[in-house]
Amino acid sequence: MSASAERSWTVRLRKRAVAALPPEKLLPDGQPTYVASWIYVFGVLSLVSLALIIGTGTILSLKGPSWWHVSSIGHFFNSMHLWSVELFFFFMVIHLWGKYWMAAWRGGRSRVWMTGAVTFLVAVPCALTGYVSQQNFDAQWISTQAKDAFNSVGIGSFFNLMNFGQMYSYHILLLPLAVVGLVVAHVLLVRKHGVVPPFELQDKLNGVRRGSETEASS
Amino acid sequence: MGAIFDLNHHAGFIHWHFIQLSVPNVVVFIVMLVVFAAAILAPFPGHRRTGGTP
Repeated sequence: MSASAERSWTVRLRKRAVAALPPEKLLPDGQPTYVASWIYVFGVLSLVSLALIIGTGTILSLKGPSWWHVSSIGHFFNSMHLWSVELFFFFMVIHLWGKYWMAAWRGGRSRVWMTGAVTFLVAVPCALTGYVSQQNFDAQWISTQAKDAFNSVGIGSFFNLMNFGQMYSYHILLLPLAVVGLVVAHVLLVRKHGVVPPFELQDKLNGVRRGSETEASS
Repeated sequence: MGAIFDLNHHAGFIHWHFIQLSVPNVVVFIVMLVVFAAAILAPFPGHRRTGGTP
């Protein structure tokens, strides 16, 4: 490779990306045996629910409220969208409980934990803006109640719950983009750092590491 | 769902001091706790525990 090519930003970016996430880490063909537990399944279940949310939400946004409220196929996709959201939160919270009790931020995994926790926080307003974008009496009730809550904490001038256009834009573009971006970052960081090991195993690994350091220094 | 549960009236609520929770929310919360416990305790198919060492 020529010297000018070496200086190119694409080459530097590629080298950094491959160094951070080599292909065998990005798409591994095996996982440690401690991953063989049902508690490790809930992250993937959350991802599947999110894919369903995005898929059904895309169809709903293409067809519009008159379709999702009136036609039977529209009702079907509306229900699919609602229940995939319910399952997304159900699975994500169990995933969060599991990782909290595992102290999944151990071993340099703080960014993995933080991206996951922030995803949960961003997903809450993403769901709220969906409930107020339904275009029915339920949405009117939720938006007027939520409007009072937002005004009481002084952010009503930035987020107007009674403004359907604003809420709909937040719901179908800005917040989903943030959630998907955070989830992609979260998954890539999990790939980079690996799944957090159980406490006993980490203690053993730390012991081995300390032993080899003592051997090297003596 | 409407065929199983009568959805034509508002949900029941559980009151305890200042805490007020709808029965459906409490049911979902209990189911989540049960699923969480099951996920930790239930054996994973095709995997036998061998003294905890990977």
